Amino acid sequence: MDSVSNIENFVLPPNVPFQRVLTRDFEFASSFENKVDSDLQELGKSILDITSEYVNYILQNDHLKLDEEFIQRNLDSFEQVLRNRFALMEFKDSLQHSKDSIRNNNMNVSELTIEALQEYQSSTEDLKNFDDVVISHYEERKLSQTSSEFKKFLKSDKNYAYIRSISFIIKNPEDPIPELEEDDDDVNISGGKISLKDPLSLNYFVDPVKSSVCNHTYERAFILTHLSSGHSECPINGCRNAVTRKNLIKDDMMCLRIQVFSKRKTKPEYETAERIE
Amino acid sequence: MSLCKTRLQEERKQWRKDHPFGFFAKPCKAPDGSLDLTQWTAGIPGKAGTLWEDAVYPITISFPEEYPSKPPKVKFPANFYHPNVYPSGTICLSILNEEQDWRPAITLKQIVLGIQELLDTPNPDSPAQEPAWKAFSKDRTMYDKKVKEQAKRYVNAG
Repeated sequence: MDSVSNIENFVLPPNVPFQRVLTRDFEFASSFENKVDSDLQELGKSILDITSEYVNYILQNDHLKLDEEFIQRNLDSFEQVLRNRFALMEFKDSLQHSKDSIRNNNMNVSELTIEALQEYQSSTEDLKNFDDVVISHYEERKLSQTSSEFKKFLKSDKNYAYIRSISFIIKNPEDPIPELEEDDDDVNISGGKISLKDPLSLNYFVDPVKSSVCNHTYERAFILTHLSSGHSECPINGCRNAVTRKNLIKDDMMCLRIQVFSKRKTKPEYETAERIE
Repeated sequence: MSLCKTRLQEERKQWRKDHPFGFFAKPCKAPDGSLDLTQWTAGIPGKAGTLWEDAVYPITISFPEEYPSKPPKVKFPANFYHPNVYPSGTICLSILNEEQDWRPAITLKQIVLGIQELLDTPNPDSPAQEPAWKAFSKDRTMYDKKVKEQAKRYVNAG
């Protein structure tokens, strides 16, 4: 009766555990997560498909030249997709964290009734509302969410690496693809050049294949000659790996290097392949 | 064209374009006057500041049909004085040995530089002839004298 007489001064307590509502919200949020994620993945895949189709088409048509800008735009778009997927992951993480934290806090809390109102009014110290928890976690994430974490995520994406390689090779057909630095935007081009010549014949590659075991590249016809003469070791000095026919795969990146290199107007004279370390 | 021929033409092209200072290498002429790319003669200059300096040591290089899967055979003149050279003149060097470190990617330039290096840094663990090996391990004064005498015989006329 006490509480009823107080009804004129009724104030909601600062902490209101609307558990049912929360559950519904979380469910809604999760369904939307999956939709966004699959949309993003699809978008990424279409950028990837367009890029590789384009590159293959150019490679099959010798008179055409790769358009640097087009590839760069695709790379930027793909990065944007990954950035969104990364943000979504962060969101999922925040949501899960908030859910757990609210569940823990509410474990010991009785349901909000008129009778329990005073209890609520008096002890609010450790209790937080949904938005408080989400905001505090989000702030926490924001502090730790440095660009290096995103770089790590970028680095782990094979398709991003593929488009990035193409974009790099168009500009630098003879240079090794630099590592994606995690904490630095500077491009570090490490000394040596990539040899565009077959280690067996010393001629420029025409139909390069690489060994999936050691990643060394050879001219298809000549590595087959080498293998059929009873040799199985990789022709590169110092490489102790065996090469077998079934480990040979077309080296698309080398094809691209050759194509870009041969289209350059001024062909810089090419140093003898230095292969002894 | 065979791999061997393709490779040898490219080796010749690259050598003509650029080769280490003091060295020479050229294919032999076949009896009919054409070039035989599988037989080369070359000269290895002794490194300055070593017992071998001021001389150019002649070698012959024969490329087998299976080159570059198999290494070329490289020889000094018979009875060449060096611990790792057989009496026949054949050089014992791991990068020239199919069972050891030979790899098809090793170029002519790398071979001749490897041989130059071997001149003054013999490998005492793989003796190929008695006199030079014995002197090198037991009588260094004698060894030095013999090497210098040999150098005089191959003095670089150029």
